[in-house]
Amino acid sequence: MAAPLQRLLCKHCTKLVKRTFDREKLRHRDVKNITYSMKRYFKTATGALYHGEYEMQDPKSPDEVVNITFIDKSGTQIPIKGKIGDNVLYLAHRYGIELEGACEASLACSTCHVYVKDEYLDKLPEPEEEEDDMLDLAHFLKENSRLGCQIILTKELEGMELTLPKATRNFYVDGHVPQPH
Amino acid sequence: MNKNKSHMDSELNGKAKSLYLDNNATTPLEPDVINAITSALSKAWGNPSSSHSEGVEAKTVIQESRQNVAEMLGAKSSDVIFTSGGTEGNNMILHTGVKYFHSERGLSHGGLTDKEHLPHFITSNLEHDAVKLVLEHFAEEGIAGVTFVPASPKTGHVMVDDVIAAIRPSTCMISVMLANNETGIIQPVKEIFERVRQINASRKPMPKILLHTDAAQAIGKISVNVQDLGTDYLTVVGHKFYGPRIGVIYVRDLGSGKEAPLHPMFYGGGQERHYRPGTENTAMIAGLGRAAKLVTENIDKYTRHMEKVRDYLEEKLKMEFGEDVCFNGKFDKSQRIPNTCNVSFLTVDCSGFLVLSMCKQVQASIGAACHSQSRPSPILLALGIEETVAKRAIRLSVGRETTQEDIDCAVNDLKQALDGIKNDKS
Repeated sequence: MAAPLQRLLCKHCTKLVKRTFDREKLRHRDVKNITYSMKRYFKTATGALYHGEYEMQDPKSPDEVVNITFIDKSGTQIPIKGKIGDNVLYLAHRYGIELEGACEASLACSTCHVYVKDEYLDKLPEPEEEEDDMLDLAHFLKENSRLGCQIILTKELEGMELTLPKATRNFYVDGHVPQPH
Repeated sequence: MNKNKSHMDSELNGKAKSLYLDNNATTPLEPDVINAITSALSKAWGNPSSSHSEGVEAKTVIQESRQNVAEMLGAKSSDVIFTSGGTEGNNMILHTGVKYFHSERGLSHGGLTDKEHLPHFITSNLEHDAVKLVLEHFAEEGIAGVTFVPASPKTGHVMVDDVIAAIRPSTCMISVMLANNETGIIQPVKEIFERVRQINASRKPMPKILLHTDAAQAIGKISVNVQDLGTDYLTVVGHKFYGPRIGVIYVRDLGSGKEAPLHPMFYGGGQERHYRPGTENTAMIAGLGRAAKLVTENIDKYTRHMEKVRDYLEEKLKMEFGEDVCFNGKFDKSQRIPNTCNVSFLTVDCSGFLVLSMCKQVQASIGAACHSQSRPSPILLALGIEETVAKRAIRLSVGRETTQEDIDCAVNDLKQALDGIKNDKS
């Protein structure tokens, strides 16, 4: 039997390359001191920001339950019972997982950076341009990186494993190191 | 009552009268304005800076005009400076932005990056050349950085959040036109300026961002009040509201040292408090003042009339051509000035310019008079209108004297022009 043909790039790298290429097209064109700002924000800067009240509520029925597992920096597995519609960042806060969300899910930082277990990566919707831009700034970026505040639980994500990276970059300008909350 | 409608009733060898539907390009002068001008030409010809009676007569005329213009805008007469027109006004204001940046930052710390050394302007991509080309020139010469915020294809104007998002630490001025000359769409200037004022307050130690709006197309068609808009600078253009070919710039609290600065572009005899030297064009200033007075007294009447006639025009076009006519710039989510109708006829595959050249009575244009009449308008393209539709666009802008009968004739004229083209091609 002949050996299978090798792909030039694995499936994930192909996606990563495509993502980068698409981003380049949409970057600001700087024609000697002129910017034609091409980004259109469909969310307003002062849109409703949720603060985790929904995630504090218990699932109302077993049909709603979505079990996921967080793996923290030291490798400890922490199983969590969430429900459909939960925001992963606020769910983590409820259970004291060390996932900082400095900008409160407004796509302005990368402190809720998580690695999504491969089989579940495709089940998530494509990241928006703003998420990709923030991810670009995260430490230890991998192909399965996503921002936790953009992951909303669905039944399909049952059994998902989310690994926390070794460090995150917070944009504090005065050197302040936040307590995990 | 027989008004002097000579510009409408130009009888050519007993043929049908011409129908002027290009009021956004320029307007004829009101008879009252012509009277004011001719009277000033004969009676107030003295040099306004002279101390004898001839000079004083001229000076009085100018002061009265200044007061009339100020009242039209809701401003003080000391905020009003006469200029040669909108182009000069816009140039003056934008150059002031550059000088303001350097005067405020001259003493600031070093270690600024290249980008931060240059003043930064924010504007829309719908602006008239008198703003757009000035800013492009600044960028070319390395005088300033510019961000052209694109208008939204969904509303036809720039969105407040997009303008705010473009603000940088080095931003010194934001210039957004009040109403666009081609589509007539009114931009959310009041909302943008409100937000920027809040931002100015919160970034206090940094020099505040100055606010300018080019109100050329809006004055005389909708009510324009500088207090309501919250603008620091405003450009007034006489020949768009039945006045003569000069203009005015409004500068908030000019000379008080607290609000908006104004740096002159000319140096000379000290007229207009040294802001715009040059012996004054008394007669035209008199005309402008009279035109402004007419606007102050009649703006509601003008607005209602123009809207009625324009809406009737669009109704008739729809009735006559049905699906074959497309109104450019007519969005649910935005307002237009009441006299503008930008329309594309889809029945024939030729430029709007050709259609107009086949018209026997209708006088209109395809866009800004100072732009080429053969390529599709870049402003319509920027709003996401397809090139095939944009190249067919015709801008019809009704005026104070346009009647519904005129509209009936105009629609018929357009129909015969289109039929003529169709028959030629077949």
